[in-house]
Amino acid sequence: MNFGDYIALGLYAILIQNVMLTQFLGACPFLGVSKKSQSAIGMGLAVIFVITLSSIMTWSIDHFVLIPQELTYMRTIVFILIISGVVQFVEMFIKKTAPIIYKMLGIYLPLITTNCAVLGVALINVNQEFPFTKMVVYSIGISVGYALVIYVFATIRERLENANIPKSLKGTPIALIVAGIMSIAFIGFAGVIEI
Amino acid sequence: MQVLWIALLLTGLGAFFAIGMYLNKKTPLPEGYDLPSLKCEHCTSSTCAYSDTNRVQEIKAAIKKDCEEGEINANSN
Repeated sequence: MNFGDYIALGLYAILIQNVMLTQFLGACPFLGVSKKSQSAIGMGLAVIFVITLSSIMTWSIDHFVLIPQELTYMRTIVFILIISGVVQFVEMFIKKTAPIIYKMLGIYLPLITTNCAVLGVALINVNQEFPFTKMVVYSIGISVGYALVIYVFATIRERLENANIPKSLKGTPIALIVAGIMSIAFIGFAGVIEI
Repeated sequence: MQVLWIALLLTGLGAFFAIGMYLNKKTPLPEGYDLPSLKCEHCTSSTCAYSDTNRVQEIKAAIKKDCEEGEINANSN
């Protein structure tokens, strides 16, 4: 694969196979942490960090242990344990070395452990049998795509706070409608890049 | 042999998580930073360790009040 192919793969992961709007993974934090754009940025950055790191670790364990030992049926439990452990170490590392970033990410890091997008991306990587570099590019692309849509969604929700919306639709109902419309918009990207 | 690998994997990864959690708890917070009250207001999940259960009660009370107002309006009509 040349550099252009990696760019195409990155764009494919961000737009065409967007983890939230196309694959519908990570909907809980997407709806829960998008009331303010500031918290959405924090969540997005934390997700990029965790998804990339955990994808590398899960791919390595799968490639060097699970497949040679014919233990692929253990993928789910092994990946969950790896992700939980990685999040703990990431939080500790950020606390010690980058307190400013910790103040921004704060509460979101432990919440990412239960984000199904993290496990979902790890499983997609091994099911698609990506080689290492392709896996890294895809994981980064997926997480950047998630950060992008959660930020956009948060800014829309902030604007909706001041909009004239019927009482019965305020809050979660209008948020779900907006998410649906965003999802339909992203369908427009289908077929632009083929992998 | 497979059983041995499974035992090693689960024990090793479980230990990895436990050690990480222990070291994380031991690591002090940055100076001048107080962890915001662990009661998150982003959703009303009662099973989440961070959710504000008081807020769940408030929302239930608000829904009940709305229903009662709706019944009163329906009866008066």
